[in-house]
Amino acid sequence: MGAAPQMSPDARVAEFRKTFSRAETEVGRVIVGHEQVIRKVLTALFSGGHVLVEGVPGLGKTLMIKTAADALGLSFKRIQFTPDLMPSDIIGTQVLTESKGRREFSFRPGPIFAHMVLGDEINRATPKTQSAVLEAMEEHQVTVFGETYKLDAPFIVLATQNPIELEGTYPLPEAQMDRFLFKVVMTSPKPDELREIMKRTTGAETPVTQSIFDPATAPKEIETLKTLVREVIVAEPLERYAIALIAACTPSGPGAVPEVSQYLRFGPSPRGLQALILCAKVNALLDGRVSVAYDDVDDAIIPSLRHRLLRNFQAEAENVSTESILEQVTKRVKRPRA
Amino acid sequence: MTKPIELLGAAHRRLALIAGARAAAFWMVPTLIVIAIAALLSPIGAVTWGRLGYQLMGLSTLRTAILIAGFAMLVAGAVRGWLAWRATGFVDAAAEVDDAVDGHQQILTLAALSDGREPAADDRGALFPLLWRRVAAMLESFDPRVFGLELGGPIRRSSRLVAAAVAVIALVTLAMVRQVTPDQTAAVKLIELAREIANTPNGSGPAQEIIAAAERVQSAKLPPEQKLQQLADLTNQLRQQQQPPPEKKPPPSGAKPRKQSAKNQTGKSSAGSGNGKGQAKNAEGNGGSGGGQGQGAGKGSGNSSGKGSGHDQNGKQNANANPKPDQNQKTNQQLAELQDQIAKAQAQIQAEHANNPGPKTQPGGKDKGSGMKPDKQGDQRLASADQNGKGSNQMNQPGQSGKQNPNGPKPGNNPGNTLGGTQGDTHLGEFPAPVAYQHFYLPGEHGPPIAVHDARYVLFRLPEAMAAAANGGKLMLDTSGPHATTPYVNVPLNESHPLEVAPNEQQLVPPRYRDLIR
Repeated sequence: MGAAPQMSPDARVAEFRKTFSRAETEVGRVIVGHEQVIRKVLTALFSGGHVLVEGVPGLGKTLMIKTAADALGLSFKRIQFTPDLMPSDIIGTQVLTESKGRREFSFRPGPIFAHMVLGDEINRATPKTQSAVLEAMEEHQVTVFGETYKLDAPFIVLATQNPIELEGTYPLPEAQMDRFLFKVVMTSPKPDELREIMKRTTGAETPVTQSIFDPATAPKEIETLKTLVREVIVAEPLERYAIALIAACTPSGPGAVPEVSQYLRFGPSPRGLQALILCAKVNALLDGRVSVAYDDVDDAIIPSLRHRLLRNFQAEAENVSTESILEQVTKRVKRPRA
Repeated sequence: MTKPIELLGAAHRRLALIAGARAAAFWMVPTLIVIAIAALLSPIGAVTWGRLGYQLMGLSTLRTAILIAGFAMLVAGAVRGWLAWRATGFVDAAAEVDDAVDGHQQILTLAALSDGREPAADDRGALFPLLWRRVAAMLESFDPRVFGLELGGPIRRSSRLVAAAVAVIALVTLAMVRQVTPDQTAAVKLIELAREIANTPNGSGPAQEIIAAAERVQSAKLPPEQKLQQLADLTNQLRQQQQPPPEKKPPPSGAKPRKQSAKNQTGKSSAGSGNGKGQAKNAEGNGGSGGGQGQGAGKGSGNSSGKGSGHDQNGKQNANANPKPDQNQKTNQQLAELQDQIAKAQAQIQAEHANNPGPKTQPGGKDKGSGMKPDKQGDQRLASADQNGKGSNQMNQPGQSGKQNPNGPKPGNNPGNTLGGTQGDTHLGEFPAPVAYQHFYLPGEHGPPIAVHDARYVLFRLPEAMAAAANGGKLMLDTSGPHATTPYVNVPLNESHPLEVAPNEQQLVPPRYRDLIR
């Protein structure tokens, strides 16, 4: 195994599809349903982004992320965000240690130093603590007492957010929301899925995930696949289409559709376009292509942009969701021919 | 291995041609329809004129405008086609091909990278060879001829343009349709007739004069008086055209035709239309055959008036007209119709002129003229005035001229003023000369009705009257024969009608016959 750069393009694409499929399968051994959520989490991983997972308690958010890390052979850390959680509890701090009769400060890394970090109920921490994660998410590095420490690649933060019990929580600021590549929503399982969950979790045998990569080489393997994603070709008409979608979501922009102008206060930032294209590229590779199609872009719109749109009072009063606005945008924006 | 760029180039050329043809086809159908309408304008105008009685004014101008519009649409179609041909780029064609083979924009991507030529090495990514092979494999069985012309769509879309063009042309045409006045009708018929005359030998000269005069009559700027004058001139010209020098036969010695009968018939150009034998009643029992004057004098060979043209009561008359070729018959009939139209037109102009004498300044009034608008009811008012008027004109006794009537008004006098009448409808104060007061018989009024079928015009002949000396010089109708119970008059009758057998009713001679009476 190994996606060496010497491989032919066909082999690289095939390797990517195979790896992705195996990861989905391994996660699916533990997690029942939520195929799209799993796919988007893996897509974010291979795109180099972070994922905000939203769902009511008990849906298996934490289990899914831990299972994904196990399946990919990556290191995993979990941070339970609470109001009294301090930034140093996340990124680490300098501690005074005694070694060979000498006392000195040494850096003790926090849980952020892992390939996959689960920030559970991130909206329960204070903004100060939440912002401590910003640098790590964007720069893949942390700074403690003036010293910068690089985070190992691949690095992905998967934060969960509980949409209920909002009392005593600190909703994520827009700046931090924009740093997540995707926002995926976990819904309640269907009856047959519930039955399968019951069997798997209450039986004598608990399903176990096997890593598809050797933990020693997994980061390198994943980084190679991430390089392949970046090489996927996007034609100029497709680029214009993605740009038109972003422009259509900007309320003050010239290409804004009526629904956006009516219900949104702010539109997506350029990070939204990056997320759109990266997700579309992964979608193209998963379809066996090396060029992005319109359908790839359309499939990426909602998870890439839903958390970047800020609704106004009218939208909240009329219970107009960002997803419905994005659906209207997709319908209204024409696909350029050339 | 298929060469994708070359294949896409071929598809590009074909798609560009198709796009140009489809864009041009959108304009082609409206253009053809507009040109067809322009070509059919003359028949449409003929139908409008011939069957509906309306004239399509400015036919040539309208045709020219429609043809210009059609040419503009043709040019627009050509320009749109050329623009569409140019606008179809290589990448556009690749997108079409991509849709055709369901390539998920792989062909589009390849075309966007190459843009009609082999992509440079700098443009090629690491995955480009794979894309190239994929596209080549997809285009392996692709044939650019799958793109058909399919003109149905543009033609269907152009139906709105066709409907709009037809509607505009119809509205403009309707706006240019006019209900022609009698003078215009006469002028149009004159022109038509003159064109037919122009086809005859030595007919071009008079025809041109008639056409010119008719066009002057058509002009709205021409004053009514001049129109009347023009129409009168035209009438004279037509009579000259219609009636060559009559060939009069001397009356036989055994018959003594009445003087006024002869006068009447010689005065009418239509008297020569008979070519049959006129069989008149011999009221006095004096048999004899006499050549009625004026019978057969015309060159017209109308068979319809062959009978009954001779009313000589003293003897039989045998009217033999020289038969002419049939081609003159139609012209004569048209001439007669035309004279009728001219008479109508003259009456109309007179009526309009009487009602609307022109802008005048009322005494002490404003500067605005007091002229009345031409009124459709003018002729009716005219008739009413005739019936209610108390003109002193006496109806002439049949068979007696105005000069012979001692009670008749003097020529040149204003009889209305003389007798204190209101003149009734004077037609611009123009009373006919007393000598022209004549009485026309109704069909069947004088003897058995004449079986005239399909006649386009009839010959009126005044009944004869005689002075009965026993009655103190009063005029008496000739009661030996049938007499009119409802005489036709062309002037209002005086209340104190001198005739003992004054009719109880008065009825105007239709305006179109008044000229004949005069």
